Amino acid sequence: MTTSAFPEGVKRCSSGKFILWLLPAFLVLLIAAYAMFRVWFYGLNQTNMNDAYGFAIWIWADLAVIALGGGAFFSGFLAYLVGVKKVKNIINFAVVLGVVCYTSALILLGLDVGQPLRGWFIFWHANIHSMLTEVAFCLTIYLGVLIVEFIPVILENPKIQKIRFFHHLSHNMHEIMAVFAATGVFLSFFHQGSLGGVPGVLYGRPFAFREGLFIWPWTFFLFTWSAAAVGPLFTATMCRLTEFITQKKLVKDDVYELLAKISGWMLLTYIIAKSLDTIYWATVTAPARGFAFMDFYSNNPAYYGVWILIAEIVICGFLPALILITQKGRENKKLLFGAAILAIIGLCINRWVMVLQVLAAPLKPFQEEWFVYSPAWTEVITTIMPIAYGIVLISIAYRYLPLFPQEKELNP
Amino acid sequence: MFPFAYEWTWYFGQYLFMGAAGFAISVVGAGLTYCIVKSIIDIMISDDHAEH
Repeated sequence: MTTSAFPEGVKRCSSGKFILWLLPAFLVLLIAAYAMFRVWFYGLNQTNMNDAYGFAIWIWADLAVIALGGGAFFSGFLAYLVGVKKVKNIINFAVVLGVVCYTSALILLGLDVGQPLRGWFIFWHANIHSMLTEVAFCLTIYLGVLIVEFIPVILENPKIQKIRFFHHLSHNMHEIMAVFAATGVFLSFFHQGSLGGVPGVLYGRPFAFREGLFIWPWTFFLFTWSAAAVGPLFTATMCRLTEFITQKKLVKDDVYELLAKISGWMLLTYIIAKSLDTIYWATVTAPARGFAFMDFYSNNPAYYGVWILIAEIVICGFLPALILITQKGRENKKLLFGAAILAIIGLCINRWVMVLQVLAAPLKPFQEEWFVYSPAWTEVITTIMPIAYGIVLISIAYRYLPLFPQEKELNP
Repeated sequence: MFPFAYEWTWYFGQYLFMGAAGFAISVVGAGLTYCIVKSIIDIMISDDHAEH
């Protein structure tokens, strides 16, 4: 089906089929909204958080989507600041994905604050020594930047383009997009980094505590680096998923291969740095606080065994990096996207370990067991919410906006 | 956040943090303003050309 509301020269499914496709996602959003209402109205007793486990599972989802949304800032950096032209074929999609990830992150943070009416306190009464204040500022401003980057994509809808002001506005915004992209890179560097900076002040939690350079623990740089490395892979994987669902080729293979090559080298350098950080922590930082390396992995091997570390660094770190840096690995699409999925899982494991496993570690000498935590349904559904929300926004954007400049050429 | 908020203190850290935040907001705001003003000017110029 083609109408004047769709991008020029492309075909889309019928409205009935489209609404049917969106229905399950809307259902999940509805249940998630009910769960959020319960948490806000009745309080945090609606979750399974307790004195030992002070973070709900949605905080892991929050950190994971922020990191995966890094594809937007790094693709913008490559396309507008470095001038890699091929990346422009996927940049619109990266921006939409970034909007999905960052709005989800802010919604989850709003949920975590618990008292949304006081959400503005973090800005107005800013404690500038708190890393979370920096994260709140950078996240919010960066979401603004992402929306500004998204506006010209919306304005490119054929119906909107007929209005002369919007036609000129989208053209003028494209002209200075490098300025917005540079601001986005600046903000992203600091909020990704500050999330990783938290272990630098967790003196009472030797499992997490890290040393570093001046006020910045090494994890500050590792968080930013990992987001920049895996973010574009997430963008490419989601683009491939969109191709699979729509049964259309949307981006040429050389774009995927270029992103995979850049991400592969970044992932390799990141995972080497991560390994060095882990070795230093295991041999110097933790022993200085009276812990041997295996103390952290022996009390509850099923949930928190050393297998998590091996999965994160070897299986989901070195393995995908080595696949992606080789030309043969990139040319084989099954290998390429298999490696991308492993890298995404690795990033999610890293954020899980640095946030939730940290809480599970026993703090006091009389506590031997690691805490085991099972989230309540309110936490699970709000954690799934970004996926449903992503399906809705990406579907609408794909239907009405020219997300993929190569689509028309690839689907004559 | 602002000097008139009670927890504001006059020292370097505050200038740096709020300066960086203000700079980022200003760049985005100025960029948007430039695009909007230029779009209006572009329309006025194209109208002038049409009249001639």
